[in-house]
Amino acid sequence: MDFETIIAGFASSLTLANLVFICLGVIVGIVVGAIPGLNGPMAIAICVPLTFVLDPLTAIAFLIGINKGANYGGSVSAILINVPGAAEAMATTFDGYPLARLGKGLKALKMSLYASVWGDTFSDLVLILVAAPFAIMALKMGPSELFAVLLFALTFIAALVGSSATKGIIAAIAGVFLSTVGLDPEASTPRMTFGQLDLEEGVPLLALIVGMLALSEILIQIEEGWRTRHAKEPEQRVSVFDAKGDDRRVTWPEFRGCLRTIFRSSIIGTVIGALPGLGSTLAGFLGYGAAKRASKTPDEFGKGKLEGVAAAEAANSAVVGANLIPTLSLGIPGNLSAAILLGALIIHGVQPGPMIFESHGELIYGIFGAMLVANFANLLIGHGGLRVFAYIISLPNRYIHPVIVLMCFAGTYLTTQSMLAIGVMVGFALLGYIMRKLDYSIVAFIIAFIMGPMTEDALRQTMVLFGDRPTELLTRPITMVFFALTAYSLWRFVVGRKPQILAEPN
Amino acid sequence: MRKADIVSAGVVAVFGLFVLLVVIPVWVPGHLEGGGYGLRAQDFPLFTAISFSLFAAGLFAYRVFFTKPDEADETPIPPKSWRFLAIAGGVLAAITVLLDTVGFLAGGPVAIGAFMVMMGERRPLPVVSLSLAAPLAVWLFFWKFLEFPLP
Repeated sequence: MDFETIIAGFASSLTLANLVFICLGVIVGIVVGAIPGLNGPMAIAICVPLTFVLDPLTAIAFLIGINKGANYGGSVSAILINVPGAAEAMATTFDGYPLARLGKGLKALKMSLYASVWGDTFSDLVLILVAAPFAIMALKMGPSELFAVLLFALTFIAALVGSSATKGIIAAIAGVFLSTVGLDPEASTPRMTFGQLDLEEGVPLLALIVGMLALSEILIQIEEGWRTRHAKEPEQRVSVFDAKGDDRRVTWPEFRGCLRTIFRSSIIGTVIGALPGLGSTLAGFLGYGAAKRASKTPDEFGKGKLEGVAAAEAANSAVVGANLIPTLSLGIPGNLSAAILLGALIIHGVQPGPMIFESHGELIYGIFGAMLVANFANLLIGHGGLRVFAYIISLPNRYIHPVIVLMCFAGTYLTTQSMLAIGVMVGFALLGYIMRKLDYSIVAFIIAFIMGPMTEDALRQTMVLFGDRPTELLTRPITMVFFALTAYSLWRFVVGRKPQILAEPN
Repeated sequence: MRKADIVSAGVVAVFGLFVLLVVIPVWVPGHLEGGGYGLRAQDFPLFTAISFSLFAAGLFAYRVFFTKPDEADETPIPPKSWRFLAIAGGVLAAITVLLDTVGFLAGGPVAIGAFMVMMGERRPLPVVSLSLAAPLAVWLFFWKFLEFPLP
């Protein structure tokens, strides 16, 4: 790829329309992220249909803005009401809420914002530097190598997300199975369409994601509300705007004192993000733990130490950019947000994978540019809108959730303009509810559903290439290495015991 | 989770058998197009259905034969939850039928109102005002801005 394409790509992210939609995305993201119970992937899924009228770069830039905004937004409620807006902000509560109780909530919110933007920018730069060379390496792989890598990634992700590796793997294989509904990719013969023409294009991706992710979560929360209506009062909300002087801002010596921690956490988050299946919640905990171990005053952690907020936020935000390394270069989504972004790219006619830098170079560098702009927007909007975001988290869910349900119905109808998609969404909402209750990972299910067609294609090409002689695989060392890694993952996580720190919530 | 694992893994394994014995043979062609190398349309669905059935059967067997019953093992979906699921499923199905038959502008307010009541809002003014305002706003947004008319 030539230098001109890279420059043109970055420049295209700076058009007025793109800047407006990035800012809009960041605002939506922060608001959604700040409301407990709502999260970034949910917002991205609901907003994908709204991007149909946009060109691919503007659409993806908008969704990336949501992703980045939501990542920071989660810390607002974590600090102010001790309830993380999303799971990744869990470690932020350890020192964020105590700081707010000490009257330093505004300081904590600002440190959280600075650390979040720093970590995010760091991992975006790593993504920009690493993704293209990674894709070039991946281009050297044949179909058998690609199939082995995809199989390993699927096993690894399925075994790591959720609390049970076996149930994660069952969910993932079921997701791949479901992706085979529709026309067969080679001969175009219908598979499991039950005579429905609408199903020939497969199970509608967005209907599945919106139902399983957004609607089922809202059902869980409504039921939770029924059960706890008369139970304990929520954690006391802390007012942050009464603070005076230095308690309202992060001073330069304070920021400088946290720089080493922020840098360390950014590296941790980037490494975790580049590995599929390990999410930002784990990164937040690891970043926080590393900061505590490295500190000369570890006893102060958990009692309102600014460094604790910086450590958790820089680490969980650094996952966002790095997650796109395997997503763009191999087509393997690192987590749920990346999986939905991958789905959005496919909907807009862009097939992720090693060829993406060749076939859509300008778009990809446009997306990279948009990611950097989104960080800047996050900083400005996050800083300027703190008072508004603090107010929004006080809005009761009984006003917000019904509107989201309506958006789910309207957005899903938009994807295929048929009621079948809405029926599919409702069905998967109920299935998602049951799966969550029984601890089957919906994350593994959705990611596997998205990766399914690519995996089948790679397997079919392999079989054609080797003339139906699987023994030929023994002559491909990279393929054999990844098959061995897959077998080891199965043995390690299914037969052996999964390390507790890897047991992320759904 | 022992009880839940036994029941859920059993259900998944039985579903897998149903898929293998009924769904795939009937609804997926078994011949190879062109007669050359490669996989039949049936092969990949078969491979995945066999895999998830085997894992489910394995989980079922492991929980039945290698773990002891625990008195504190609570049912993860108690009868109350099934009742809730039935109500929620009924409401969602009713909204779907309403949107299909009377359209978004008439069905939307019912959807908003139903969910507000389900979430504990009983005051008529907020229920009525949000039920009327939100669907209209969403409908106008989709029609005017996205240029996609809703049903």
